[in-house]
Amino acid sequence: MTADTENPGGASAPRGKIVLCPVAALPPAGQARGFDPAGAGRDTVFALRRGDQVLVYRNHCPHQGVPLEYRKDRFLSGDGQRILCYAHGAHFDADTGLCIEGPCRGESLLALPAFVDDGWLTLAVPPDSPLLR
Amino acid sequence: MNIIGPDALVFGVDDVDACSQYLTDYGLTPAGDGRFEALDGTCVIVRAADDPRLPPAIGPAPSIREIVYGVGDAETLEAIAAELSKDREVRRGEDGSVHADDDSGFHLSFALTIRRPFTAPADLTNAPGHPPQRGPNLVGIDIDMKAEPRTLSHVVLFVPNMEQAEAFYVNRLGFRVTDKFTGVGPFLRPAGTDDHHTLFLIQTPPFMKGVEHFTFHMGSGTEVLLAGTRFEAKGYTTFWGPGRHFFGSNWFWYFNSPLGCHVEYDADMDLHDDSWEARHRPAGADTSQLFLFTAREKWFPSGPPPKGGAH
Repeated sequence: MTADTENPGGASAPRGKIVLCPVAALPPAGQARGFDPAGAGRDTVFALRRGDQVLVYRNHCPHQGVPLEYRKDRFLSGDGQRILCYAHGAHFDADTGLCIEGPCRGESLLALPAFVDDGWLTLAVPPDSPLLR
Repeated sequence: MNIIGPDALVFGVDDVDACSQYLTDYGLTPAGDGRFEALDGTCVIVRAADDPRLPPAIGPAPSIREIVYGVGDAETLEAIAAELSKDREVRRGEDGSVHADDDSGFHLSFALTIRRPFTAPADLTNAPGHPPQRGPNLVGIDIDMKAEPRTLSHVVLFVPNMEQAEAFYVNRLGFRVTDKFTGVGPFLRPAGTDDHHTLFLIQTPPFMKGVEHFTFHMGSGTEVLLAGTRFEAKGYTTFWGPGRHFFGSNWFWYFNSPLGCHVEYDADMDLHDDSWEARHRPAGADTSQLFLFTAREKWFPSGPPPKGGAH
């Protein structure tokens, strides 16, 4: 057991940050992009534009804890307006991460603290956080 | 009743292009009008969710809209129509097909099978203690070897009342329970096939009703591993596998998909006849698989070749 696994709230602790990409490198609204900031071997977080905001969620469905996308960067519904878990068909509100259809209705994706720093999308999560494994 | 198994699965989807690309990359052959075929002609059909040709939806798109069962003879169609007419609406198509809902509300149709005879090579094995299947100078592996979906194997349904759903298929359509996960659901074999299962039912809350997965039979475990490796290399997301199941003994590798359910590669399933007695086991990691692996990127123990090339 590391200190991190005993501190799952580490996402909000100001102990580190990770630069993901230039904001300009994000796809347009209606698409998403996955990232593997801790070298887990798969994309553990994904980012999408909503209006003027960029939202970053943990790629971890509250139903069974599995990755959402069916293919690299394919996290959204066909119209780009919802986040879908392509494992068991859960639909999530893209703005809040709340599950509105499917097996985990009422539960939410974990939104991760992120900000833009001099044009770079930055995750306020320490690189050794268990959320990124 | 000579029901063979599912011949076609019809989906209503929100992204037809993504589903078409997916099914093509999976290895099915586009045959036009949203139809994607295996070697024997069994198929998946994808249509826009608002296509008027589709039966009503069970849940939000993407989702299953119709399960088409192939039957071996016209007598079976008449027998199904007569049986199901006793307690539900049955519609007949111009081709004699029979359309009705099962007890869970899934839209079914029954038609003379579309399965075409075909031949394709087997994965021959050389096992010490047994006569060789692959003689001298016959190599087992070719870098470009084919790994194509051969025939639609089975579909798995989330149902709100597993016992009621099982009773419908057993008592009304002549399916047999080959094995059962206690409290979870049965593996079901219709009379027209000896495959361990063409249908598996899983008890879930009502709002999850739908397809959990479907799969096509590949030619062997090697083909499951090869097709899955190629599919993953195209960026598709593994859900479970590769591994080998206990019930049915089939190899498996499940992927997420834009069709609203998982899509599997399977191979080498057990065959049964009516003398088989169903096994009942609790569902769990130890009863559902003999082993499970995680695919990883190819690598080589000695690292890259030396600079300047080998001599």
